[in-house]
Amino acid sequence: MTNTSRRHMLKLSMLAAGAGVATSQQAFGAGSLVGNLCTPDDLSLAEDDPGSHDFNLSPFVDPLPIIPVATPINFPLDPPIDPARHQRYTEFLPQKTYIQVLREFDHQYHSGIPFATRVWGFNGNVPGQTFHARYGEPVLIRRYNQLPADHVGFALPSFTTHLHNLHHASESDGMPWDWVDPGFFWDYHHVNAPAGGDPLQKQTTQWYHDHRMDFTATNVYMGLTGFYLLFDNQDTGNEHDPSPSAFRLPSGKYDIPMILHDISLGEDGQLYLSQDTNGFLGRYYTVNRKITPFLEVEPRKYRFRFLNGGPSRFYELGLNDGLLFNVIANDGNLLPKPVIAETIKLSVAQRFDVIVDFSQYQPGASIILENLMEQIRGEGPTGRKFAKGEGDPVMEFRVVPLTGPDKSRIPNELRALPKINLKEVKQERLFKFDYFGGMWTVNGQGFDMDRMDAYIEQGSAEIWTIRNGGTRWEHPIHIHFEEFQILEFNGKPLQESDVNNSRKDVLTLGPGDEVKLFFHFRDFLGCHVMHCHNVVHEDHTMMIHWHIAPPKNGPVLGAIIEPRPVMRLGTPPAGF
Amino acid sequence: MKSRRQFLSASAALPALALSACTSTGPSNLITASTESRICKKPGGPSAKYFPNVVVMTHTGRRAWFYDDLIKGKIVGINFMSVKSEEQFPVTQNLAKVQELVGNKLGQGTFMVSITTDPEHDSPAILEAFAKKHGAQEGWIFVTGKPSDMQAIYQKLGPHGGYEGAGVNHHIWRYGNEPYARWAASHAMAQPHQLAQRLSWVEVNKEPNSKKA
Ligand SMILES: [Cu+2]
Repeated sequence: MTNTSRRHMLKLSMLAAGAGVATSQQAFGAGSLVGNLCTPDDLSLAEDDPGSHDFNLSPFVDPLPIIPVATPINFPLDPPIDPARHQRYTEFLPQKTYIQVLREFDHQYHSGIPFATRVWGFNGNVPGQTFHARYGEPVLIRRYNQLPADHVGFALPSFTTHLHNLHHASESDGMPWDWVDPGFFWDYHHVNAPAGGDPLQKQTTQWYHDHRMDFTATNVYMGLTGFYLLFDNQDTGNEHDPSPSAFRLPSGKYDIPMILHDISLGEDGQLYLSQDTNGFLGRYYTVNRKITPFLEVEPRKYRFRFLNGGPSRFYELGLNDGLLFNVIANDGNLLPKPVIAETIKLSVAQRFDVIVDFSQYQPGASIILENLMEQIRGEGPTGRKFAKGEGDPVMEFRVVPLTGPDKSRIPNELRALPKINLKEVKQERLFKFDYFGGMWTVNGQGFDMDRMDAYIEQGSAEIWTIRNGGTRWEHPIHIHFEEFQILEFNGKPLQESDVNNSRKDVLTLGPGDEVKLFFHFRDFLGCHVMHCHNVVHEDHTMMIHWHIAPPKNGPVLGAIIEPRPVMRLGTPPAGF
Repeated sequence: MKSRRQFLSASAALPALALSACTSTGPSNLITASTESRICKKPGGPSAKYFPNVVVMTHTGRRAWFYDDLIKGKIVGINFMSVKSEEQFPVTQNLAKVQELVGNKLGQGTFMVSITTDPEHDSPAILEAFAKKHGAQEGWIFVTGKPSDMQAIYQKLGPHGGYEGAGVNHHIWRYGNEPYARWAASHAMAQPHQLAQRLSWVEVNKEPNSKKA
């Protein structure tokens, strides 16, 4: 079967199943059956991988899972927290404590699959529970490894949980080498304070995911992801908030985090992952770990927090009905003002918070979220884009009657960007992402956990030039700990209206792209990493390791914890 | 599984192969002749779908099923090399240091498999001399074979899905534990202690407890 007809088959089965829904039937009408893809013979689609089974699934059968919110514990930890393991612990005493136990359990990816799928998750949840954190309220999360030591499958039952883009100490960041084996636990201390104490550095939508060295793609793919949301006196999480500072963004059940993963299943219904070092493309789209689900929405405003959870796919999301996105946050940072967008591009690990207003719809209407980005191999998109209504369906919104007035707002002004002062720059560095000898490299070298790639003075600012040396690959580059602002993209500053005029932690590099970034390094000492967030590239050594050292003059914040903490032996308390 | 069946039926057509793919437990059994050999009823292990089961030649001049005899049931480090490219990509030199650190485990459940990307030149005899030069002990196996079979292995296990030219992509070092289907990769030029350590990451102390349906 040719690639083109494969894609048609997939679309056909989607179409047949969607026939009961008037608008979706229109959306996937004859237009989509004209070949979208003409690929050279040596290229393959995710659907062509013999390890990936076609279960002939209908779209929009299962409701979108709403991820439960984590609840703190109300008893002391045993053994207690060891303050000596954490920088600045007494300055940021935890006000809430959580326990997460990582286990293996069964999950139904789609009700049409005759098998349960073994997954890994947190307290029985996949994705893991969503944390609702507040600025000024430090938290401690203790995570226990109760994964099966004798697990049979591609993933390694050894975790290290990275809280993506949060500003916290190295030992709580889930470094690739800080792993926790079955029977052990790790304490993660999150200070929930803005970088440099600057309120303009506050964040909103972050997430946690596994970062085990060499096994990040496999462990993330097995299920080890979840959301961590931050609220403050503006983004209060209450659309009825009478406080004059409150933005009154859609909240509660109208504020929905959505994590996208593409997956393939073997004929036994278990997750299938290929060995292709370019990256992995799954056969099925999932949102919150359900294949092509639906969500009932009221005719009102919603805040959707879209996150591309990987492993490798790039998305361009659009709504088939011409409905627009009001983009309010990029990579978990509120923008200076909302940006209205027809589509949003998400490379792996990127987030966009958007407000979608369904108020023009009558109950019974159906709107499809589709992926318009053509991608046939893990290395990056082809560059071709599907026409609206002809993309791959990701999920459906079904309009139901309004249950109450919509008091939420889309503010005209959100959060200003911190000023860039180039006089603070102490150092410029160049990092070239490329490949050599078949492995992914940064500045010509593969990752080496024993080699320090950069020493940075605490309190200083730096300019990093990030270059893609490849001609075919796209790399979503992620930098831990401190956010950057883009000074130049291919030699030019961004336009003021560009949605990437934002604080960011993921930089998408197309072939040959070169980008100049500005950032500060503040508040803690120690090691962090920069890597490609196509997690298959990351696992194939596209990562470096840098270190914040005490400043030559002036005050030091934090202290290097020596020797570096290791996992602690212990099992979860009763009830977990 | 489909590809495995294809490989098996293809190999059944090879003339006069005396293999014991169904019964062998390691390279030392390879020579045992068996009339059953071409009717392989033994199911593949958990990692069967990742490995072409083609017939290869080892540097000691033995025939082996690549998956059944060299991978199945073992913890393995796998790399690509060629005698001619060693000067430019000294991966074998680096892996010789890994071998030292693996120590007694080598050949006792843990193996190293080095696959040539230049089978036209790298005959078993040339590989034998090359292995000897690098001090390869029992448990480190150099592999050559029919160019199309070697290409099949490269396409499955080489970088970038085998799309790039085979000649210079010698930096991938795959490692894993076959009965547990745990596979990852690192850089063949990484510091030897880091590679040796990785072989222990995938070890499991208990018996496999397959929950597969
Ligand atoms: Cu990459």
